[in-house]
Amino acid sequence: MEENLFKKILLVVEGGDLDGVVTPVAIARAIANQAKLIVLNVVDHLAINRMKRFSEQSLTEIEIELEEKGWRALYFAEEMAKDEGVPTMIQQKSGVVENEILKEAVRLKVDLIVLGYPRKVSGQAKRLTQGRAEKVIENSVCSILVVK
Amino acid sequence: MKLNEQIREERVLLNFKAENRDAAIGKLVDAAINGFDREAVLTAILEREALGSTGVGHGVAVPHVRIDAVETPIVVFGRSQNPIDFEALDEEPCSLFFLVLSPAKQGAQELHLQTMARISRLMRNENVREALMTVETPAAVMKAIKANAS
Repeated sequence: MEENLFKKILLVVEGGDLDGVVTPVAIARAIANQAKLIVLNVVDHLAINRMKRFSEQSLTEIEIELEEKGWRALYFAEEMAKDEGVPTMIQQKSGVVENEILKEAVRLKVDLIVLGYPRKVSGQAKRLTQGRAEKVIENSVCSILVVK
Repeated sequence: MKLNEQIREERVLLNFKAENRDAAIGKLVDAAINGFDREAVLTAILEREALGSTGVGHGVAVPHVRIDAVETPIVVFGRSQNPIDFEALDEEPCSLFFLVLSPAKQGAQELHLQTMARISRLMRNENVREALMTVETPAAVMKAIKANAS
């Protein structure tokens, strides 16, 4: 029986719930367990440099865009969760995504990490996201729920 | 619309005194009041706050709610005289506040999210936080926000 197995759940939104399924799953798990939800987005500094190669925007402009996109995703998830009565807090970090997820999971003493494994993106973006998920699974000290 | 265009000088509250989170939010709501029911708005915000702190770290909190009483987002900036515990994830007490009241109507969510995102992004900038901690007039607050607003 799942009831109250998890007290604190970390939901990783990665700049937006790409398939639109990860956030509802995390909320459902939080409700089932009467758990708190912490929503995390990490602004990927490596991605900023990669994007610069294909963009006429400056590094600062790209960073601002990614940060705002991240906050938007966080507040979107927060609104969904609070509408369901789930205690929710949001947090944005920057750095290497998988490292920040693992670090925050330990610091905030979460019991479960919920993250996506996107199907609708392709190419390098898909490989990067899937690679991150695999690193988190390998190195996490708590349970992981990967949503496809 | 840029963030600085959403804040008006009369909705800037400098060096307000409050003993705790609820009192601070009350002061911010008073600065936002525009003919709507203060108690109803305050209750809505506090109920939302009870479901999780709106402290975003670095001594900044962004209490917010979507309500029927407003047609466009209302933003209030406040700086408290003393740091106030908002139970933020980084455990830092807060001195800088943005209260956001957005319309609850359908189709208004995007503007609400954009407003929230712009405020939160702006407040990650240490220079902006420092400026907002030290400026002495509402006009100077507006200038500091305008210089870095997106």
